[in-house]
Amino acid sequence: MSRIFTAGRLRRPCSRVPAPSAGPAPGPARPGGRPRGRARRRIGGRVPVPLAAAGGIALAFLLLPLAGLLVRVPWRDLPELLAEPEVREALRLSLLTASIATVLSLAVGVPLAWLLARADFPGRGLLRAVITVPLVLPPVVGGVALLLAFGRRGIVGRYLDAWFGITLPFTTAGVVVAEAFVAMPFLIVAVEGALRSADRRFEDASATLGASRWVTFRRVTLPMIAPSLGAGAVLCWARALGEFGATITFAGNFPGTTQTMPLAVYLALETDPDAATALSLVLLVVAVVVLALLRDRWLRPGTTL
Amino acid sequence: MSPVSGLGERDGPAGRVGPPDGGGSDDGALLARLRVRRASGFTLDVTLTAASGTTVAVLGPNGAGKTTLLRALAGLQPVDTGRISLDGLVLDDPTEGIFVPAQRRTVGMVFQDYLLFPHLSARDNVAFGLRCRGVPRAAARAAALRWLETFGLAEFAARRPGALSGGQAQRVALARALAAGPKLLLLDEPLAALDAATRLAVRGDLRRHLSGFGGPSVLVTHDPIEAMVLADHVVIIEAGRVVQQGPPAEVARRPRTDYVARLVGLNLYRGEAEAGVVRLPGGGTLTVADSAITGPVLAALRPSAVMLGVVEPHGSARNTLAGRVTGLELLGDRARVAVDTNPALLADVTPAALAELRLEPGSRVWASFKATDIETYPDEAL
Repeated sequence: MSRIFTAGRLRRPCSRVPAPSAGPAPGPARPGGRPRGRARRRIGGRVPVPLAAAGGIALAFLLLPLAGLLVRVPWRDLPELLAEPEVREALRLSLLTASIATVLSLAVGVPLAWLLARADFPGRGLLRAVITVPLVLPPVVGGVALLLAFGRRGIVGRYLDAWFGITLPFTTAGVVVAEAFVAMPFLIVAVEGALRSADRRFEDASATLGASRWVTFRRVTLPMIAPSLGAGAVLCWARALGEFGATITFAGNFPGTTQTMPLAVYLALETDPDAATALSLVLLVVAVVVLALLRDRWLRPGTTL
Repeated sequence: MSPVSGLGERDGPAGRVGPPDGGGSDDGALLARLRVRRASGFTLDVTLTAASGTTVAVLGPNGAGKTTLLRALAGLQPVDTGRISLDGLVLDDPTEGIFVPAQRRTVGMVFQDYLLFPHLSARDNVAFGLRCRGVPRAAARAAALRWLETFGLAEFAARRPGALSGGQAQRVALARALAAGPKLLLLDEPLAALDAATRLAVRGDLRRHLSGFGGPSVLVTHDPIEAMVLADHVVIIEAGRVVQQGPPAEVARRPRTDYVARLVGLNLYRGEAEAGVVRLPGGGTLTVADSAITGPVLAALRPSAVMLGVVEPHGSARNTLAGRVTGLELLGDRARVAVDTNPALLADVTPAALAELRLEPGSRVWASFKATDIETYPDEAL
């Protein structure tokens, strides 16, 4: 994912080059941009050779795989490949499960973020740390943990099975659970950060106008953090869409029920490399779209996740 | 009467400095005696009363606890000890275990930077309080529009706060606070965020709306003119304590602390009076007109009552002091001269006099002023 972000970052300066004559010629635009860049470089002194060389290597390293992907995409057969039932099924399943996982994350993750940011209870700091564990946990380990909790013999799963007849592993619902487990922390962290940095005096103003805390949350806090909420949701969705390790561990790889795009790509690589490339392209496009949506938030200098 | 009315009498310092209380009735009045300790170690310890229909200005330097006081009155900050009651209803009293939170206090507050909800139009901001009190949307919006009309803002009803000027935002904030039907109105530096030209116009407006508001209002400010123009009663707090209170004219005439004296632009001296002479701790003396007053006194002197000359004057002025000019400051049509006489003085002269006397820092001058220009009053600890 970070690779793709970098690609977008590099793409941006090109799109920002001012085009004085709106013509299709890149020629006139370039001289307009170049002298400025040169002048700026001179002010700071010459770029040190070691930095330029090492940076160039990093750049090539990050860009070449993407270029390789784009070069090898079977553009002519693309519509055909994407129209294949397995591919369409995987795409549909991915979009569906990622969207459900995001909705679930919003429904319970936003309240948790609010509790972490606003409510006062013992162990809050510890809880905040625990929630970020899935962020750094290898997704496969997450899948194993999910099996141990929600598997048929799992500490919760056995009761789900015995009492309600609900089985999560190796079902579409299991895919959603795996994706939500991995992606929800992204949303929580984004929303909690927004809540902490939001000016709480607006909530004071709301209270003096007679609003209860619930009304204040709905009508003041939530609208004010809407941009962060949207960004967190998009990030959560993208993470769910790309989820591989936890999904294959917890939900398996059954076409039509649990085989999402990343699993399909992995499998297709063995049998049909062209299909794998085409599917990868789709995921790349999705990633770039996500990046475009979040561009203003993240690609400003000095901003971090 | 109720224990509430007794509270005001018991705690009003000497019962002498309380605000006009409309013939002893507590209807709608705010009575607050509160102590709030903050984590930083700062303690606010204030007694404040405000009768219905009056405006009390709380004046003090930055960090004096003004905003903490407002937050306690609004219910955004519980008091540690004391009691706040409004219209006979106890809002906060730790000993009785009563704390009415902000959303159930019917207290309107205008914040320093207004805090208009950025995602709502001006109209919906004003309608917010009514909606919270259960008024249906259409009715709340119609009422909000009427409020905006009375503030001359009907044409900006659909605008978001970001598209309003400072003066407009201030009036929307006031309309929003009033529309919710508060029993007490709190204003936190309502004009501080405005530029000088707008401030004058909005101050006039604010005065009109405050006098139209039936309940008590508490105005926090660090601008003495704002306090003098808008308030019926001025309370001055420094470092969390009330150092002086009274009608604005009284405070302006007889300041009790150096901070207040600076605010109202007077020379203030603390000393011992005996037989028409005030002896100051620094060894200086002032001859005053009131020969009856004795004991610890405060003596206030207007800078414009001080005459400066380069030769020793021989006139009717009873006080004549020699010293050097230590500072010069031009204040519009007059110049304020600081002189290191004993006691040190501020004197106001015209720029023309300044030029004629050729005064500059270090110049030797004689300062003289009449005994009758010194306001002498007992220095009573509050």
